[in-house]
Amino acid sequence: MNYNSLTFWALFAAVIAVYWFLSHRRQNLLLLVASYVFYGFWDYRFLFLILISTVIDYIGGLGVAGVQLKREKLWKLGLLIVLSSVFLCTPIHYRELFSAIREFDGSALVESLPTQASDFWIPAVVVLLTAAYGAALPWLYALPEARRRTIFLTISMVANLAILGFFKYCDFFLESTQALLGAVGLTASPFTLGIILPAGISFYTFQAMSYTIDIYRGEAEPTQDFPDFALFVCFFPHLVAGPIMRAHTLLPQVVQPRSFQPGAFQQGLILVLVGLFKKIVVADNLAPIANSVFQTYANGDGHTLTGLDVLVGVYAFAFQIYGDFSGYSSVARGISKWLGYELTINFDNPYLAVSPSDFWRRWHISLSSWLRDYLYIPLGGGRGSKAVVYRNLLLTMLLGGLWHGANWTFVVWGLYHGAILCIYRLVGWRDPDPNGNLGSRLRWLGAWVLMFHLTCVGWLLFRADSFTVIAEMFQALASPWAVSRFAVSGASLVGFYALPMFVWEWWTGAENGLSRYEVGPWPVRAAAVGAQLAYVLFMLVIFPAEQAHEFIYFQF
Amino acid sequence: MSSSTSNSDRRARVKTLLAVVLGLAALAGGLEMTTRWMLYPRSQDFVRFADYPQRAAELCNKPGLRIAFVGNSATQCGVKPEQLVRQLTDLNHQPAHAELFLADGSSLNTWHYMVKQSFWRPHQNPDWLVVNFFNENLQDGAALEIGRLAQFFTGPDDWDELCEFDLPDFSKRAEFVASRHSATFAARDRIKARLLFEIIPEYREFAGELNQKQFQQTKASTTKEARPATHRVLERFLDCAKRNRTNVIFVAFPTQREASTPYPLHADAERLIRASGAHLIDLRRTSELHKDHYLDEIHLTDAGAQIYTRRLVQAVGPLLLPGTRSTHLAATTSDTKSP
Repeated sequence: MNYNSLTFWALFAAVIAVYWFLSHRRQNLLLLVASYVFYGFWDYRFLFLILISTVIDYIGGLGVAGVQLKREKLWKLGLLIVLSSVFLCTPIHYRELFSAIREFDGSALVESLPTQASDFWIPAVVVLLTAAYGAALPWLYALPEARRRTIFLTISMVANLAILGFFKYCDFFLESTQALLGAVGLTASPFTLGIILPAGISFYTFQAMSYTIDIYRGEAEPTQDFPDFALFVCFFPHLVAGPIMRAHTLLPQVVQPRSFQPGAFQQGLILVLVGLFKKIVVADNLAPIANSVFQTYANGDGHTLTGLDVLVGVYAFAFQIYGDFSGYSSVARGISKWLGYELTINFDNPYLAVSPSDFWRRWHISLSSWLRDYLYIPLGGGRGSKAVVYRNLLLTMLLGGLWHGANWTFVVWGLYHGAILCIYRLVGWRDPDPNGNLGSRLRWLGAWVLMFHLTCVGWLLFRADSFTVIAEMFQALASPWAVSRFAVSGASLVGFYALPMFVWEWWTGAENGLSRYEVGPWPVRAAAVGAQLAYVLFMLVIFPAEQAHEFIYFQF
Repeated sequence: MSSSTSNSDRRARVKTLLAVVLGLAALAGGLEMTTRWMLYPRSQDFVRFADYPQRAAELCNKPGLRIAFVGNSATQCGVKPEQLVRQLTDLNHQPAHAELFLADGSSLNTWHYMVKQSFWRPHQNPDWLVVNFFNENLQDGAALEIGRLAQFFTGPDDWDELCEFDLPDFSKRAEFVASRHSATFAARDRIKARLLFEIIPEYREFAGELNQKQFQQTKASTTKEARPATHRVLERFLDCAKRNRTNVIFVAFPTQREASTPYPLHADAERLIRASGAHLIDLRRTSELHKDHYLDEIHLTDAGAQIYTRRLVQAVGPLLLPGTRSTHLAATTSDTKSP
């Protein structure tokens, strides 16, 4: 269920229709149920994972803060986890089960339920681990404060990273190990576990981890209300593709009563419409152009394309991924405003960046700030010798690349960005002032063009399936360029779809610039808003792509 | 002072909001009128779709042998009605009349409604309905141009059937309802294409190449995970044909054999067709057709169409002789001709 599906909007309409008539507690409960329904649409089995993560971090956060949960509450949480594992992780055929119940068919009912002992291995493991953790808790609570805080934090981190590591990277490491063994002459039978990647696991895992870390650092207060904490973890507008919210930003909004702010409806509407435009019109229409180029190389037919075709394909992907990801974030913010929440801005005109550090202050801001605060700065940040700083930058960006996916091309993409960060630092780069004198503006222009293309090089690494494809595409780019029909039409389409979005964001300051619509005489405002709305609505109705594409960041 | 400022702010907001809403409504209305009164009459496709019920009625009122062809652009390029009529007249020694009821890129899920709207009403039945098909035209799940279906080929009575067979999810049903009420929404794909043809250099050729690449890439990736074919839409069509006493001939159209191996004829489809009493003619391997007779994998050139039409007459002609009817029919020629 995506934002670009009518099913989602029908469900959202059902939620918002009653939301503002409910008390604060009931609002939270409604959002919690809606969030689980939203997430369960992807695959209901993975609700169990999000529940496990929620319970571990709930107990962990309170443990770090020195709050002991009563035995009764711990039993309830344990029961919740065990029952969830039974209902979500055993092969119950729900369709047949409900049908058997409706028809009072006893034998069909039994057939729809798991009957083998092996069907219950996950609940068995869950019972054991839950019992062990529950048994250890009194001992953990009794530890000296410093040790208790560290151990609860460690348990939370290890559990979250173990879940993330298993579901996201297990098969990747198995395949890489087999490839490495093969490279040194040792044969290993191809073996992977075929693990399905749960939607949004990287996002909610990082968010849950930030909760416990912030409590440890004293930057956030834990909540003792489990449903509130569960809502903080799984709040549906941003659950599967961010922005990654910090506890001190989102949790107070969950815990405290909310009111509908003046201007929230209009601002939310603009954000939603712009987000849908970016996804449905820009990203989905540019996807076939980008896919055509990259897939041609993946199929080994790269010789049919020219260097200019490759460039157009990379440009198309650059705006596809931006439209896709920033579109999702924009819709998430818009919906959240309608629910009385304020989500953090995730994109700030990233393609106007003039340096790598400027780019990472503008692109996927919630992730880059997460990596800065929880990895880069603890490693030492910009302090220490040059070698240490470069190490910190490379390590942070390497892990940032790995966060995106289980493929060596993502790692290389991350290292690439780390490398250009280091290079710019090495040469003592200072971002030029776009509003300075003529020389400064020309330097800004040159820096902007350079940084945009450095970013596009990174997108080539990011999007390509393999290093062979990367090498061939770079070879094509380095060869003489022939102007082909594909390049001319493709470039024209990239301009047609992406340029208005680019210009609008430059004019408004993207998500920062909603206040632009609040100033000036009302006829001017009406004309500006009306013209832009007319354009967006016209494009949304007339120019959706023939085929809707999955949000790129859902796979992360 | 501050309350009067906030009052004037509020008034300004209200005025802005009203101006925007009214302006958008006016633009939407203008666009809808432009689509209905200017774009629709200029679209050859839309003009002929709107004309199909009348052409069907005229066909059924003609004396002699009356044949309706249903299909897509392959039929448009492949069947020459004048040649067909001439050769059938010579063969059967009675006047013959043929009309094409076509929709580009369509399959049986669209043809069903075209025939239902144009023919399946009392006293309006052709003598023969010839359905040219290829690849997965007869299977469930074929692509459906919802806008076209909503505007031209369906009525309010078709809603339940559409929901059961053709509009499986909420999004498609919502799209259908929007297309039913808005000509602009229904025609948006065509408006988009028309605008892009004007704005983007060489867009037509570019789009063709891109679609071809996407098609090949999709084909390569889906052969590994092909779903088993089902034929509920075929069953539905045959049931309706039987109820309406329509004689049906299905013709497996020849695709370019140098480009790919002939598509399979699913045993399930064959069984359903023959069990219903309809006829199935396999012209997939029309030996006289070579790659020079094709514009692409499917569409024939003029020379290719002459060859195919001749082969079609040879294959179908004997079936169309007076006295030859599908086994389920008891209707006589005079019944189908009376108003």
